Amino acid sequence: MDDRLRATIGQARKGDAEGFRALLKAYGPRLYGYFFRATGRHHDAEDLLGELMLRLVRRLKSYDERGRFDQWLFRIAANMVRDRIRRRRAAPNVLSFTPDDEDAPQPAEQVPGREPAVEAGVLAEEVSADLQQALERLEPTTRQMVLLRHFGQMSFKEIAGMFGCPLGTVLARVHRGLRKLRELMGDEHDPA
Amino acid sequence: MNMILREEQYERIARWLDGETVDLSADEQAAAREIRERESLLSERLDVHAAPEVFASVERRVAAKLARPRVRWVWAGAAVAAAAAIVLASLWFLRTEDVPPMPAPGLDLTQATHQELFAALQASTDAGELDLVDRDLSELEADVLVIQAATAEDLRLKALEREIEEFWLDHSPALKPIEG
Repeated sequence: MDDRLRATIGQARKGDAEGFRALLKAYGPRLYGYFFRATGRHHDAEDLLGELMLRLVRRLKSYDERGRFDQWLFRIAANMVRDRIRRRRAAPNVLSFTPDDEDAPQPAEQVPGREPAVEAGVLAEEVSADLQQALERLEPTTRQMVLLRHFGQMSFKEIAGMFGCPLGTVLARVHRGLRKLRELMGDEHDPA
Repeated sequence: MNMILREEQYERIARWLDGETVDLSADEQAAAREIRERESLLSERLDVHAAPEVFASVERRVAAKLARPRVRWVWAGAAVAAAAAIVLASLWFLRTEDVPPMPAPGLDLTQATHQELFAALQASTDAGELDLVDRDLSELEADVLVIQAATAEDLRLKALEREIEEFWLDHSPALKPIEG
């Protein structure tokens, strides 16, 4: 951990709003991206980001500086996403966006006039709906692993530790997930 | 490229992709290249730009959360003070509950009976109020005594005077001029 990050964390630990502001500035965009890509909704992403920052206020003191801060932060984020998806599945009036069977049709696709998972106009050119829809077709754990590689900048070893599964299994899942994305998005996005 | 890899091969590739020095077979190297390229391609498209309002909103929530403990302490202090006030009031009430209730605030001292005034005197623990009630009571008692005494004596005296006057009017001797 570099000295600047250590100082920022120390500042936040003392309850200084400036410290939390700096952490939000440093990690907010990545966390927001992760939450959005994991849930498919801007509203959820914003809500989860706010919730995570509030958890930080309570739990930052328990952070062990020997570990990587990113990993610690994204571990919390991953747990929050898992809980959110579980709750969404448990809600009878809310359609699941993550079927267990990756090849099963999306419930949202079967509803005429449905609201798109990605709100049109908000994402503009930065976000592609097809990528989001492809991500939503992945099995949740695989999607989490793929997203944590990018947004959490986590190694395969770190992901394996987080999910409690063998290193080879993590890469096999990620590999399968990347292939699935390629199939869903079309060959024009695939350099291979 | 759809090669089939075993679990241990994936593990070796993962270690290599994590930066470890691992000798990979040709198949493993091909798989590693494919994974790296696809991850790289995906990374270019995954990022999402959130509106600045999102971060401003989160920042406000954090600031409110940080400010809340101080507010909570103020409320805790107020609650302790209120509890202390209730305890003190209860103790005071227990100490004075044997005293008869105070007379109604609108008690007219001039119309009150002695019992009511005495009750008021007993009920009051305030020195100033005690003196005031005591003084009013004394004055009232004096007035009552004066009124009562005047009525009895006056009637008797007036009746006696009237009788004397009537006697002298009825039996008055003829007045003669004084001879000198």
